[in-house]
Amino acid sequence: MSARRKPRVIPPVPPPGSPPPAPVLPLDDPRLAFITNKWSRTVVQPLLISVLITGLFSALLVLAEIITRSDLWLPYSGFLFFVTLESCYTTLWLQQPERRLLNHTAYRAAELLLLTLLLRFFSWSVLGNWPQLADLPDILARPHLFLLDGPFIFCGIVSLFAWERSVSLAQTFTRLAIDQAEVYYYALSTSQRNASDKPVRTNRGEIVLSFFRQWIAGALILAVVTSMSNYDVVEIYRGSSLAGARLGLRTELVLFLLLYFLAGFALLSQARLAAMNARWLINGVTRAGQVEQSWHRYTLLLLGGIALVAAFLPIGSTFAIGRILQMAVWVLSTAASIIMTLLSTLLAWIISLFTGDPAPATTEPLLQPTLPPPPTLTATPIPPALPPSAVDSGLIVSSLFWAVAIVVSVMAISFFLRERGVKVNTAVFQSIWHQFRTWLQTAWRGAGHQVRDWQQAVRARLQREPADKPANQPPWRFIRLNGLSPREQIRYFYLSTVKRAADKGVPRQEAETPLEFAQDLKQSWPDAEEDVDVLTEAFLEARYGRSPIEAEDVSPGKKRWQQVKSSLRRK
Amino acid sequence: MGNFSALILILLLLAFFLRVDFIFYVIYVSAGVYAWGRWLMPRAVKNLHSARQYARNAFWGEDVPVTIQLSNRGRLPLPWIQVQESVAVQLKHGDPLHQVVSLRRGETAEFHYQVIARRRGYYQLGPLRLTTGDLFGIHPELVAFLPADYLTVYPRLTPLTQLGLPSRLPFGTVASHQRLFEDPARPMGIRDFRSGDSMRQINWKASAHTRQLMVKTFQPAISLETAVLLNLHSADYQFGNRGDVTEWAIEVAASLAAHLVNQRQSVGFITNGIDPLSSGQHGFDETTGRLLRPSHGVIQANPGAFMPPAIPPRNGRPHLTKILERLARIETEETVSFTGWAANACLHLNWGVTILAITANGSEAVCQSLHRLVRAGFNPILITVEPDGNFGLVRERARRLGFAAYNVASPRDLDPWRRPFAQGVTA
Repeated sequence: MSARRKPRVIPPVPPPGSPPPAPVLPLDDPRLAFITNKWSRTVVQPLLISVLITGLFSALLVLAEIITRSDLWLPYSGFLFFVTLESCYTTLWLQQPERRLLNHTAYRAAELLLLTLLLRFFSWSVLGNWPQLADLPDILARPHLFLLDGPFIFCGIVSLFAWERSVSLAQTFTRLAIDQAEVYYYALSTSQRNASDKPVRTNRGEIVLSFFRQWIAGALILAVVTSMSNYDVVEIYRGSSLAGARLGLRTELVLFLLLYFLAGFALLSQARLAAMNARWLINGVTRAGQVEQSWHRYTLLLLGGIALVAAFLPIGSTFAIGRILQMAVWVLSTAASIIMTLLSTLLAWIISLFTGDPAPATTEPLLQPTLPPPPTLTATPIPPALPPSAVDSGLIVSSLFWAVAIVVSVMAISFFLRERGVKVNTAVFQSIWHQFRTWLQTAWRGAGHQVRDWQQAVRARLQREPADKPANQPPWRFIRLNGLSPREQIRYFYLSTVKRAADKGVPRQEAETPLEFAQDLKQSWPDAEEDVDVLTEAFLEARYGRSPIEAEDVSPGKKRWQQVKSSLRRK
Repeated sequence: MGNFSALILILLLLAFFLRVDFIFYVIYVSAGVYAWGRWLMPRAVKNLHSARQYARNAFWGEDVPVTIQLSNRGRLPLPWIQVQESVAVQLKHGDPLHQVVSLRRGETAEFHYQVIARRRGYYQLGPLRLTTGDLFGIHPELVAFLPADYLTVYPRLTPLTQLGLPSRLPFGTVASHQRLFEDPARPMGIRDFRSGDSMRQINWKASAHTRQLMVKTFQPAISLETAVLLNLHSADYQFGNRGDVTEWAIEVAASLAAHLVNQRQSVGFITNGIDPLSSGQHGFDETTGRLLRPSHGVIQANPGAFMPPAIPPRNGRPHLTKILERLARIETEETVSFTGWAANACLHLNWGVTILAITANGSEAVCQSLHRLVRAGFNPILITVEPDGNFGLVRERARRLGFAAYNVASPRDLDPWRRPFAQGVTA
């Protein structure tokens, strides 16, 4: 080395004559350098973890694109990146000492719910099928059709796994990092240390090894996925040869593969640095200079340099070896299959010696194809109308579902955000609610005044009505059904049916008898024929009969009336 | 992490069989990272040079600054190197050198620390352990060493002003109260002429000026060629405080030798203790860092092999350094008793040499041994280092046998020799 630099002088260790170290380390204490690498812990590591996990699971999305032959999957990789980044930061945030009292399970559940909602919105925006206002009844009645669709479920599962992996990796790096207790204990001089305060020793080497194994496993999965993506899996399933089903490697997959490996190497370096930091702190090693910056710089330079050199190396020239290996494996597998065939034949022959000649297999005549029987024209039975109670229970269930979903979502989001320091200004909501109530009261009062005006106008008009109307016709009013006698209830059922039929365009003529009008009704609503007959007969009995009508006689008429009413409504 | 090579192998198989070109790229990157740690890191460590700079000898109580230079002369940077210097417990001064540093190519880092000389001895500094490794933990860490160096801590020296030791050798440089040894090269003043004064000593100028005969007076001086005879035969010392007393004896010997050399006198050193370095097979105590002495059995098999040769009387600072180094390493052992050893040890000395015999006590046998030295023409002086309540008897016995005796059992006993010259004590 010709160029000799000026020696870098490492500051000496302070002599014992210097004042003893304070219990609380000053900010410039060299030992605090072991944990003050905030840049690594808060920026570099979460980003690398996110890139690693996103690269791994986005490869699955690319594979899904190839299988489904649609291009709607890849945009979800952006959401995966968001999920992994968020989970990393949430994990780091939850590991802080002041968050120990927080219920982590509940908070994680709230986080997952929030991510699910975000994925739902993201999926709608990617697919472009945002719910319309016209779909509101369906949304309310059948929420599962509204919430669940294929891409959402698949990406939800992928996101869940990515979230879990990300949380696990973030926890791994948190365990690797030096905590406050270790700094406090090991920063003291040996004489000042209290054995009972000694932190539990973490086997960081084992943690690094565990991360390394996980990374290797992910790398193998990714390599297999990459290999699978190189072929048209659908074509192979249909029986095409491998050569025929060969596709080019997708650019996105190349990118994900590259990101996964480079991020993995960088994270491995980070993990190693964290473990070394802890070891140096525990062993009382003083860091001189900027070891951590050098570490990051050399990692970057090394990976970048090797990646650059590797880009210029040949990658197809070794395929001859691959063919030779393939041939060797083929020869071995063929030999193994021949041996197995021979052995199985021999075994079958030996067994046949003990069991005698096998009975000749009876050949059954092949079934001749016959024409299918001609379709018979049968009247398609019209399904009976659902009872009103069934419809009501479905609505109740869906309403309950929505109510619970909304309440749980709001609670989860508010819990998640409140603990993160996001405070909602409730005064704004209270003001809006107050304004809404005021508006509602004003509108209600206005409507009441309007109704009174209309009533007065109607009364005035009725007073001016010509005398051709029967004078004894009672004015229109609400009727409380249970307040009527059984006879009057049956009459009400029939008369209300007559009124509804008139509204639907089948009025009763003045000269028509109830039985004649029943014929009109049956012609217009043939599915309600029986109900009309029963209702008409009940009305005739109530109107013209002299026998008393009890309360239990009302319910059959009421059922018939409700069914007739539903038939009328369907038209 | 053997899984890493498994990863490369599996990727290679996948790339071969499924013919995915891009996996080759990943393999190249992985293999590059692997190769960097496997082959290039050891090469980088080989280009690591280190050196330790410090003063090889230290006086008692002295701080010794040590500088370690670590140079990366290779082309590859070293992202981290853990530097750990082993320092003997008895030398530790502050936190030991245990640092981690990164070195760019061609860069040199300097580490400084201090040791303190608390106790005489021959200590090991180092070895310096250098640990480094790759950035990913794929390969085991690499360890290199800078061999240990050695530090000699001299015995504690008590500064003496004058000893007042008698000598039979005139014309030296040490002032003496015996007029017999007046040195004409050291004029001290003038006085009135007396009958019998030599005519050559008349100061004519002063006589003319005062108009009466005045003669020059000369400072008496002696040549005090001395040999320090240090008895470290352990059986001659009382068992209870043998360690402290022998250490004190060594300090006394070192102080006397240093004082005499400062007086430009020739000093030699003879001892019947052992020097562990003499055997050629020595080790160091890992805890204290001191030079380990051979086992008792090995010494007893051939005690003469471990007894260092005598250092003949010479003057000058380098000679003092030689004596002090010997005194730094010397250890007490059951070798040869003083009475059987003293006479033979002084055979090679010149006639009239003052022999400072430092031993435990002034027993009859010891005094008889010294008397034999008197009769052989030497000028022995007995210095005992064990406390002795009846030392007056010893002094009287020594006076009758023709030599002086002193009891120096504690630093306070050296006070008479530390006073200014005018208040000196004569034997």
